[in-house]
Amino acid sequence: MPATQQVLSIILSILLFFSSTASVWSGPVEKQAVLAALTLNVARFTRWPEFAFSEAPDTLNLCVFGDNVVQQSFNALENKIINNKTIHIINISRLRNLNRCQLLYLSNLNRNKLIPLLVELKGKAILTVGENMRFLQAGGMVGLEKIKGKIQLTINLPMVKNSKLVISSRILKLANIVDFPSPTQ
Amino acid sequence: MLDTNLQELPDIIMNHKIYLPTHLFIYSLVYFSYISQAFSDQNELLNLSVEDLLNVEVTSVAKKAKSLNDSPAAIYVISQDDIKRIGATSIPEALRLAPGIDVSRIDANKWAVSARGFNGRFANKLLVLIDGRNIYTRAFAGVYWENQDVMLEDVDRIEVIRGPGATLWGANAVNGVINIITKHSADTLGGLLIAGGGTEEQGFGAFRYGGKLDADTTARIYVKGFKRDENTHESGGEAGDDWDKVQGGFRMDSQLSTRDSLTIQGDVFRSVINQNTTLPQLSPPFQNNFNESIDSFGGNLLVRQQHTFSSTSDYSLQVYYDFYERDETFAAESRHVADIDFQHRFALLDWNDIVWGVGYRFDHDDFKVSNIAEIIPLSRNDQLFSGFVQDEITLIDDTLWFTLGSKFEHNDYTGFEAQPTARLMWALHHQHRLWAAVSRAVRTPSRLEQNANALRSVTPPQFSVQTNTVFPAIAVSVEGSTQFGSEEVISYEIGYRTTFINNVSIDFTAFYNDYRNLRSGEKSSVILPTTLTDPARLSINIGNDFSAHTYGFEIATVWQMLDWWRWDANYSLLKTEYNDRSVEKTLGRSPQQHLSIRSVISPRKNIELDVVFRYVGTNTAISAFGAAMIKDYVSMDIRLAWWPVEDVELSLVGQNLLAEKHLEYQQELLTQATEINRGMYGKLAWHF
Repeated sequence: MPATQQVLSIILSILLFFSSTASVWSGPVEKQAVLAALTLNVARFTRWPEFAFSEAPDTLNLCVFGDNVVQQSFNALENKIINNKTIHIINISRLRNLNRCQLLYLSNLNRNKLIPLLVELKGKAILTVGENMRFLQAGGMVGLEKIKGKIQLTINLPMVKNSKLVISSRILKLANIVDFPSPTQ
Repeated sequence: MLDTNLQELPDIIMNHKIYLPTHLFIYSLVYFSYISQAFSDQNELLNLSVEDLLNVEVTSVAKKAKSLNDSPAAIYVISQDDIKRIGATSIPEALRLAPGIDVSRIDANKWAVSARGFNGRFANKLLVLIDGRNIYTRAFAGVYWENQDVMLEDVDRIEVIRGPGATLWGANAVNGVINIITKHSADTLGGLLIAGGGTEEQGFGAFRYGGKLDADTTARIYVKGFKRDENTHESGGEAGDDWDKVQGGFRMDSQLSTRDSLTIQGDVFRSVINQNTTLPQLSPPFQNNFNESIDSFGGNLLVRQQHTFSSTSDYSLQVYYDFYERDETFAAESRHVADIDFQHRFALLDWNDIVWGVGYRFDHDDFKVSNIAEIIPLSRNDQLFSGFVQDEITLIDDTLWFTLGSKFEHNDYTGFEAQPTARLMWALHHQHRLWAAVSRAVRTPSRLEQNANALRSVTPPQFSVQTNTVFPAIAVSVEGSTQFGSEEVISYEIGYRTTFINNVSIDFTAFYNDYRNLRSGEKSSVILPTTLTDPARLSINIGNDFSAHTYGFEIATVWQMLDWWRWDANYSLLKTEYNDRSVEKTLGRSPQQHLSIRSVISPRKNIELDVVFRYVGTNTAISAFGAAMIKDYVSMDIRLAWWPVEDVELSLVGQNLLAEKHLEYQQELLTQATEINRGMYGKLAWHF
């Protein structure tokens, strides 16, 4: 076998070795995929008031605001059925017409936009999910933050109650509960 | 099951029972199954309980390629991580990461940077902003790159937009806009100490400290400095282009209320730039060659207030002052700029996003010139009034947008200018984006083009043996003109972005630019001297007589091959066609092709290995004595970094490794062709 071929084979073998170990299930899992799975679970254990589904009673619109990596991680949720409702993913790139969303996932929105947005959503039956404590302090409801290699679930309970949403105690007992009222205007 | 297959495969190949193409085929099959396994991984994840999900170890390293943005423009974002990982020590070096940007190092302290052609030390069709501050100088309508620096570790990102951006940013954003954006001070809390040195980067250091001033206010201060070694003249010998610089600055961000934020920032620098200057002179030996130290000094202060009305409406008000002084034998200059900008964004009728703004800039300069140049008047005040409006109209929700806008401005050189654009963005699928744009942009005249005359070169007298005659020396001077007007481009662009499989992204842009009224140099007839010892005179008169069109494409690809191994590959093609073949002798020709391939490897959590390979095509630079052909070249940079403990980074960087020295560009005047030397440096960074 020519030398170049041998070298190539060795390189490819090394690559394959690493790629095979990397895909072993017990290793670390990509963060965005876990965040999407957790969002699905939180939705599964959340009860919306009836009027939230007045336009399409069988569909739960899950709106995603984020880059393509975030959006792609939510694609696997499309058409999943939870509590007899089919999930429909809406990738939004402009923060408008949000009343169609029952769940709004906001990735990395700067504070200047986040606060007024959450103030506008206040009291509406839209479950807001974000990625850090800043999101909760600004008036968000569910925070999924990576702390020491794991995801920490934090729920801002007053904001949830204010919106007539009910999150099951099954989730609440796993979450860190905080009390950040909406920032005053 | 898949894993067993994977382990068996190398054995089959090692027993060389199959030919290489077959190996490759099998390997690609395995990769695709690997990719599809990633999909099933996510489905499995969805079946896990909340308890399990909260217990899995997560990694932020995305297996997926970023990013598919929704802007209808050829935009490329250089992240903080990218800047760090290529070991860039200056802004131009970082810009080499972007596709379609031609960065040519002239010598240790000078760069030529442009997009889509017309490059040069005094390139004038690219607009550059640092945190909203325009760093263009009216002197030559371009950027003194050696004056511009930031604490590179505090840069959040550099947004590089190829193509006209004049509608939002104004005149001179003809072929591109570069936005250097530093981090919010809340993101730079704590200390950072940097020290290092090597062969070309002889020594550098930086210190930054950020803290909380009160519950709503954060701030940082920094100071940095470096000393860089000289390179080699193309003709041999040391180029005398070593330099050093010290710079310090601060940034403070305060959240005045939930709706108001305030940013105050500023920098000040002093630099000693050495150069081996060559100036023409009228008497023998017709050229004056000497070493000089240019003292360069400058600073800026910026205040920005932002107010948010709602999630779709806000305004910002920004005021800044910027000054610099440089003391060069050819011409010394000091310049002061004061600028105020107001911008307001709001939504209208649920389907319009409108941005409008007004601005005013005041520019004051003072020149001192050598005996071979003349600037009339030596000091001048200029004003610029501008306004713009842009509407993004949603034609189909989350799918189709049409943007229409125009900048209107009035400047003291050419009067009124309008720079409109129309753009369409179509998000046809969540993995595909298509856009198209038509824009007009202008490049307004510089101070020197309108008000300066200078001796450019003197060709020594020649004696012809055959005819036994003496030809006198010829002195060529460049004559500016107040009649010189704006250069203009109409640009047509289309773009396509896709992440058709999750771990690959491709960004493709094609363009056609039609330039009119480009700067020309018309030679006057030769005026013969009255005595033999005097030179003959020839002048080149600046006008707007050239036109050109350029076309080409740029492609940027990212392949996240493995969690810990990414490939970036960029390629750009640029064709430049002038109205006349002779134009190339005046305007030069930028490289037709650029290729860069970058491998980004993080084999362990605390080790990074980066390799960048670059090819730059042949180009024609314009030197004092006419067109100079610069050969194509390849170069390679490597960086290896290791974190022995979490907060300490040790890195070793090799730059331009493939050749001992190579020529990238030649300046229009003042210096001789300088080859860039190979360099190595080591660096320590400590976060505390």
